[in-house]
Amino acid sequence: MPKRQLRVGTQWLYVDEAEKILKGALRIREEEQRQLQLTGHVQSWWRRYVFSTDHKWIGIQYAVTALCFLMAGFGMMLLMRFQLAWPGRSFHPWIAQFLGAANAPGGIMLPEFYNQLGAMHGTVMVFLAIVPLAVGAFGNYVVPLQIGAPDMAFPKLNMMSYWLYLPGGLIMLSSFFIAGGAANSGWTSYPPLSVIATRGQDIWLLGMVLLITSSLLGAVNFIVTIIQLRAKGLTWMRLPFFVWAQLVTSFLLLLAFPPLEAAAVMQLSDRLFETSFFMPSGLVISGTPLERDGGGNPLLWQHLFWFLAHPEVYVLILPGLGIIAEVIANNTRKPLWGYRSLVYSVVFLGFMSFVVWAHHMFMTGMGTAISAFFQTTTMIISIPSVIILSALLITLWGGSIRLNTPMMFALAFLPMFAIGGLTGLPLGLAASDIHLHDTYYVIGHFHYVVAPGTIFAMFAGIYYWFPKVTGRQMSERLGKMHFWGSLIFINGVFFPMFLQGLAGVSRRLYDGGAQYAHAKPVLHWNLFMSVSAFLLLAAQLPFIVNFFKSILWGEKVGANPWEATTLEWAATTSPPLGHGNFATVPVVYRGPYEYNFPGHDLDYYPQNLPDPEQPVTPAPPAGGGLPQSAVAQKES
Amino acid sequence: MAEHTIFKPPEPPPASPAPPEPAASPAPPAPPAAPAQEHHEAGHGHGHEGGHDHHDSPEAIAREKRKYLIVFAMLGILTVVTVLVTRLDVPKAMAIAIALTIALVKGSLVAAYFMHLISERRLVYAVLALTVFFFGVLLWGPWHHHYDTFGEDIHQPLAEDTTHETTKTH
Amino acid sequence: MDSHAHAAAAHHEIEIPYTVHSRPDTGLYNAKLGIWLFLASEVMLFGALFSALILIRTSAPTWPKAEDILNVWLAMVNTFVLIFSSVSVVLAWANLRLGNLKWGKIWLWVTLLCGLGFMVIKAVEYTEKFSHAYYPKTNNFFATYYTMTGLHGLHVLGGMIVFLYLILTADKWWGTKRAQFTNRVEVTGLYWHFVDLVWIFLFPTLYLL
Repeated sequence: MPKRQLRVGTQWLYVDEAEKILKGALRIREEEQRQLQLTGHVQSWWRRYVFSTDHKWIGIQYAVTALCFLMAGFGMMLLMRFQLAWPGRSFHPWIAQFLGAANAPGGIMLPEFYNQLGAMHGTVMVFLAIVPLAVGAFGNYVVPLQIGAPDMAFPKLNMMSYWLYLPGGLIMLSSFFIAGGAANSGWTSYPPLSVIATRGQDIWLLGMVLLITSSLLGAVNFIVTIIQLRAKGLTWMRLPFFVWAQLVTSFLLLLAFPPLEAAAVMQLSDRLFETSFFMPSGLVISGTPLERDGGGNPLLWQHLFWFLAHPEVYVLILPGLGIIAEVIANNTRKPLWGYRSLVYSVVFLGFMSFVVWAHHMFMTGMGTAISAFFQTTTMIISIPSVIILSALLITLWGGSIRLNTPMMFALAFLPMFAIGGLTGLPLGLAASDIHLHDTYYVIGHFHYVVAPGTIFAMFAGIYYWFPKVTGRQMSERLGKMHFWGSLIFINGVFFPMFLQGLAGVSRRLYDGGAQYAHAKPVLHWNLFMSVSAFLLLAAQLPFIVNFFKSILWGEKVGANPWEATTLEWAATTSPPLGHGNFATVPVVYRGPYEYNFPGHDLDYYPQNLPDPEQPVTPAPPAGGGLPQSAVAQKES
Repeated sequence: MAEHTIFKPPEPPPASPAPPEPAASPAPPAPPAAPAQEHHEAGHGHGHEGGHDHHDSPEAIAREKRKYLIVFAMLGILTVVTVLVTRLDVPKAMAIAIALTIALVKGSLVAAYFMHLISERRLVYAVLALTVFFFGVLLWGPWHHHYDTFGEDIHQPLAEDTTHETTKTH
Repeated sequence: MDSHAHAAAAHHEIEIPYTVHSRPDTGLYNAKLGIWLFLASEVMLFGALFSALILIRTSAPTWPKAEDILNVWLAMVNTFVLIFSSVSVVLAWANLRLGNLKWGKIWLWVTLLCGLGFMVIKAVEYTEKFSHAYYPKTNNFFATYYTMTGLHGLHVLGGMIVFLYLILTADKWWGTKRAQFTNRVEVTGLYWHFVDLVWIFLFPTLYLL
């Protein structure tokens, strides 16, 4: 029997097709009607989805963009690891064609291209992937929800932050396509090399200026939001640790980034206007004296760069620590152990992070006084990290541990971050740093903190908050596959780096150390690490499949599928855009992790649930009772 | 149905007399009466909320205007003093100290009176204190590193102005 | 609910608390805290430049005498101009708090013109230097001079743009969002005072020492 046809407009359609189109149109119409009723007008598609000022949508924009950059950075790493495992081997013809003759003639990677990949991998991962994901995505989406706010304090500024980030990132990546390629002087861009490097370095500097501005605006936004827009009853010591972590992170971004912005301007000036901020006198390049006035100091760049870049590494880890804390509290069904210590530690950590930077410069001929100073501060800063990690570990004791995917990542985070942190100690002591500086040991150290550290925390966050954003749950089976594969192979990639580093293999070597006698005994690890890297890629496939599959067909869940206590779970699933976040304005009556509260029937006691019978934890006096007497008591 | 999907700010505490924005346009020039009466002269913190953070009565503002003009005069004088002082015959280090001290005084006047820091909230003080500390660290670090390095000939002698021993000779 | 919806409809957006009125425990409204935080970051920005200057200068074997090269008197005039513009902006704000839009706008214009005057004098200075072939690359004295005054000048320009926007939209804001407009002037004024403050330190450092 032929299918019935309907005439819709000028077209003849089959009935089921017509139905689909009409239903879709109806849904859009309903949404618009709702908007019209609530706000008096309908926002254009551009205002709603491109130039959105809603923190949730901006958070999603950040997440999607950052994950794309993460994949790009990952790809750069794979190219490098291919070269390191099989030096001089040509790539697959498709890849060779993609890379082009300028970078890999005959499919064999040029050293110049390797340097570009090295510099850009670091830059992309740090500035375009992790920080935007941790702060821009998770911070933007979750923080206003967790403090019971309708949005960030400055929604338009928030939108501007994103729209400085995306162009900044694209501009950076575009440098791969110009003559001379991308920046190739390391993500650290040390002069004089960076000053005489190819054009790509200018683009790197310009991109950095845009990214730094984006971060600064974001930092202001976060701090004002957290201080000013907390819901009634949400005193400082009732804040979820994630919010504390974001607050400290934002202060780090606010105060540490500007020196790098100034330094970037100075380096641009050196490159474009032939000034000598960083160029010493008497420099000779390939036998030719450099025609410049000189009198500059390359170490000046190092100081200004590391003044940012050290707090930057805490920016990389703190939001992750915050996520881990949330996931652990939720999945042990007990309050975090030592909440106060956690808070004081993270604040102290933030403060100390500003006075340790020159431990990246122990090999610059530092005298004993200044070296001792920075070694001391570096040792001191390890204390709050240990306190935080210990508190999280102790929280597990006696907990009813639920081993879901976010919790698995959170549990794995603990020993991985511990390894990363502990391997930092010999680097923070000048005597051992002499041996280890600029070797693979350093690469191993910081990757342990960022990769099985922060990235695992990011994964935990994605699995944990996915139901809130989409209203659907991700598959546990695929999640566990993703977890185990990632854990095993990420260790396979990074652990041997300690061995290579201890043997003295330098970093940033195109041939992976092959030409050095002292590298011979440990050279075989290159192959092992590269194979692990490719297997690590394979391990991400379940995640990618899971992510998209669950968005479309994941099991639908309610507003609080994890039975959590913090305020974001009091909002509806996938809170609507542009209409505020909560059906009723939340008021907070207790701390953030009241799991198994004595006397309460459920094993979790949401922050915003009033209970007339139960004496609630009394709120400290207005202002929070925090030693941070910065929060002024209202003068009566 | 009374369900709000738009966040409504919590009711301001009873002490606040001013209606919430934006529907009402505040009547100029009469400010909310209560805070003006509660307010005392010492320039204490902004004790009232709901209205503006500063005393809005015409007398209070007139007093402030006077303060601004006095500060302006002082700044003008200090600027001239700065220039004159550097023409004196003093050793270099002294000249730097004097010039920076005067600049500090001028800066403090601008901050205290034009930026109203003198009657600002503790939170702002805390942020600024933190910043000033890190500012100091940033100024100190590279310089001290330069002067504490290994090797004998590594660092240059202090900048020697071979033409003038002091700041000014004529 | 509907009246509230209409109130929000007037802004086409969600009501963010403490945009105009201060939060009780902090005593600040959002933009005020925001601008102080931003100024903190600016302190660090200029701090890095001062740090660079200190390092470069103290390690330089010779350093030109500023008075012989730079026009101290012109810079002194510029100092007065900027200080006066700080007074004018704070008078503008005072008038707005009194409800006097006319004088508020007048003083804002004065501020803007002072900013323009500053930039003109700066342009005169720069062209004079260029005519003697004194460029940033000539030596580090000039490199630091141009960079620090240049970045400062960009900040002056930025402030001027904001003041222009405030002046041009004043009438529209004065209608329904008077308090918020006054707050914006206050906040822009704080930024402007900071720009003045930086110059107060730049002037002796670059021209007199």
